[in-house]
Amino acid sequence: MNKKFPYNTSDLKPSRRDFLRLSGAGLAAAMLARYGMPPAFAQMAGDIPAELHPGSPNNPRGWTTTLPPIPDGMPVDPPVTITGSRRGPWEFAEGDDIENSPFTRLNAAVTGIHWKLAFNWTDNEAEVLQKYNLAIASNELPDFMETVPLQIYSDLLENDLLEDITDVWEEVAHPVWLKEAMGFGDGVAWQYAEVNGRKMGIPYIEQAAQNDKLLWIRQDWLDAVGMSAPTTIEELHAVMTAFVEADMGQGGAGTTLGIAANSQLNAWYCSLDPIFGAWGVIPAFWTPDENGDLRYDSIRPEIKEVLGTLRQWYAEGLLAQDFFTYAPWQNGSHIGGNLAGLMYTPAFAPDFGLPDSVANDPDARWVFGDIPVGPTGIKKKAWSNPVPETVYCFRKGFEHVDLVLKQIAWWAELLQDPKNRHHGFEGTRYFWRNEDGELDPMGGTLDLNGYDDTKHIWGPPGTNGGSRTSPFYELDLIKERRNVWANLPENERDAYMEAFLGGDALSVLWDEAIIFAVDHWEADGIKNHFVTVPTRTMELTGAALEGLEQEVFLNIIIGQDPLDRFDSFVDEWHSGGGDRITGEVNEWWHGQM
Amino acid sequence: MTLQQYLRRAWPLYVMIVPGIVFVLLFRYYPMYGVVIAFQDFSPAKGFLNSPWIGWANFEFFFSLPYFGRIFGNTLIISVSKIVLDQVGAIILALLLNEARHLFFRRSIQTLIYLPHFLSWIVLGGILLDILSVRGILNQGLGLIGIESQLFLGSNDWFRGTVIASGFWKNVGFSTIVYLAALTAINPVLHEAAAIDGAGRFRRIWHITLPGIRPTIVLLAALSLGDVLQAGFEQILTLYNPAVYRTGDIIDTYVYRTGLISAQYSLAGAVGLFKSFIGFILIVISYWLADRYAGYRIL
Repeated sequence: MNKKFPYNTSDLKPSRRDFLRLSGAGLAAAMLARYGMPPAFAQMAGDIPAELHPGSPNNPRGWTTTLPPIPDGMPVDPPVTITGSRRGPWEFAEGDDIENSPFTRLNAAVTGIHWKLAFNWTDNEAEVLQKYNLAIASNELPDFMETVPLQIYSDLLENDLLEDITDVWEEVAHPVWLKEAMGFGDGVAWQYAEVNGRKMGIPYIEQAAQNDKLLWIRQDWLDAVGMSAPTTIEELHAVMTAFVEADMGQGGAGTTLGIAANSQLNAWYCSLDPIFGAWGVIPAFWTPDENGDLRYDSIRPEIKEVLGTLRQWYAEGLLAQDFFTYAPWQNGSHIGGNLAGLMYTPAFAPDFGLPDSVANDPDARWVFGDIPVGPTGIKKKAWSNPVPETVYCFRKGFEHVDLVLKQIAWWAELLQDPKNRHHGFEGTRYFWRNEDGELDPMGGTLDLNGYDDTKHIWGPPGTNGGSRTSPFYELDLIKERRNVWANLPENERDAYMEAFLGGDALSVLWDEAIIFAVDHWEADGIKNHFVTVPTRTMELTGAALEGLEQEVFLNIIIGQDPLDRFDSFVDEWHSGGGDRITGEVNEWWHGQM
Repeated sequence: MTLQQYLRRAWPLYVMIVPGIVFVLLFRYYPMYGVVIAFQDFSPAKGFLNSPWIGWANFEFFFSLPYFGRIFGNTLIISVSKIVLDQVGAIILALLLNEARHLFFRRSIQTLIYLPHFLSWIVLGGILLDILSVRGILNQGLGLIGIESQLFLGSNDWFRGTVIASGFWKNVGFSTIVYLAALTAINPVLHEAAAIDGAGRFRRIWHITLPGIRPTIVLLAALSLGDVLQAGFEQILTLYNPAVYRTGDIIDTYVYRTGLISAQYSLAGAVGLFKSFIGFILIVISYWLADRYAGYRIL
């Protein structure tokens, strides 16, 4: 069993034994001296004043950062000013702002580019549309447009307002940090940014397997009921039943949940997609059939079997009686309140839910593992596409696309090559206002973990949301850290971890989960092959069909509708526009070939 | 009085209403030209002038939506119930509070029932989701007296009732205050006279208080007819889930979901115009009703 679940919260806690022999501040310096961080400014080409340099070489626990070589012909003389739109809001200290920060100062010295803010929006779906529509209507598009939503993008394309960057890209895009980095997965990065073979923008790239689910489970509960981690759906059912019957939860009597779930069957947290995947289908995905045509998974007969299974689980009290009234984020309190010991959640679980769980129950020991297989031996889940529905675009007629591409490549190399050890700028305590209006530290002063959000950077990489040019950037960082760690003499590993890896068991668990998720990303993922703007009929009846689907599926699960309602739903779907949508989707699909 | 004499005397009054007229023209009438997008396939890049005209297509699409009957019915049922309950409840509350002798008691109750009015539905929605959940405080209370827990937000039997009741809870305080204000206008002498004549409390309410506020009742009830297609978008958006679309999906939430898939400004514009048109007709009717039964008229 331990083979299947090698990672858990207690195994990876650093023991303090060896660490105690070294003293606080001296520790990191000793580590630095011993394990040879790259020497300060060694590979620096050109004259970049030391005060603009990232890193904190003078701090006892500090580091030095290596800057990549300055691109050919840079910094440009005279400097150019480029306008851009940004997703905010932000807060800077000491007179700095989004146009004048450690990033822009270093960037200006390296590239000669000065960034000017055209407009910004907050994390609000309506506001970003409004701002872009306003810019379009008033004919004042910025030179560089950050994360343009797909419906704006198609409007811009239709009205010929975007610069075709294909030729410039071929000529100046960096072979490693742009062309190769964005060439993964047979060009999947370009699913939106490339139109009819022409590059109309730069893709936004998230991290590989970022939203792929793992099965998270309470090892201590398993031990208490004397079971091992489930490897099949049948075993999963047995474990859920045992948890509920033994009432393992921390809430009042009879409040234990078999598995945490919510109204979205394929959710970003506490999802049920791996259950559907165990029958080889994912609701609302378009997948190729045996003839090479795309079909809509939600109407396949396998869905009925999954709904029947979930219906039975609900009737048995394994799902919360009102699970379908919750949004995914509300499951956080079920996990944090220790009501559930099982969930399908991505690798970031140690960041959301688990901290509260462990705080409320110090004995809570969470482990993660592979998803259980279905009755016919299928083990699948929704494949998380690292390219969300948004594009970085350039205004038609903008003359400096080449400069922006060079800038992007330079920063990508600085941020994404772990050997450069970029962790932010020392002494910049800047904050970013998050969606709750709270201040999040931005670009940590002594963030030795290598997780520097770099939200103040203009254009990818960076930006609020943290896009990169490669989906494997985070994985590479983790591997590099662990590699260094593994090559140390055993009695010094704990100390190194304490100094450079954070040493927090949950964050280590997070790292492990990412590695595991990426390892299973391609093999276990079911891909949604329909990746373009909605078709005409989707725009018209898509919402109605989608609403019908959610309504019918949930009502079947909770027993308000009979299971055979699924059959009439399929008929309604076909006649209510589904057939036309299937035709349009396949027209697009075969046009792609 | 000649026109000249009249103007000499009345011109300050005309000057005084100029800012108001300018305001209404600028912010209420000028933007109305935007309503043309209801008849266009509008794209912001093309603007009002160059977007193609498509006649009634947006309206035809809206009326032919597969669930038009259902969402229209839900909207009417929820909003009419809300209007009736809100008016009746506010009158009863106002009468009760008016009879309360203890000033501190009266003011406290008034403030307490008025309080939810100031919270947004996003906040109240979060609170209600918690209170009404299966393990929420309400179901726990019901459990104590032996009643099985109910899916207030998840069952099609309960959802409309929950929406109407929580809407009542939030809004009744505000309506009550309007009636309380009307009640203060009733001459206490009438009450004293009736009391001397031997009228009891209920007789006095029936024969003095209620007739005294009748114009207010008719006016408020008539004016609220204009809101008959406003079933409470924010409220339902925060409380509903797909399992209760059957009983809880209203025009606004449906259009919101449709519009999200791709920014369909024209459709939203057409729906807005349709709702305004219905509202306009009802306002005209209610104005006539207010004139007929409460003697309220502008001209």
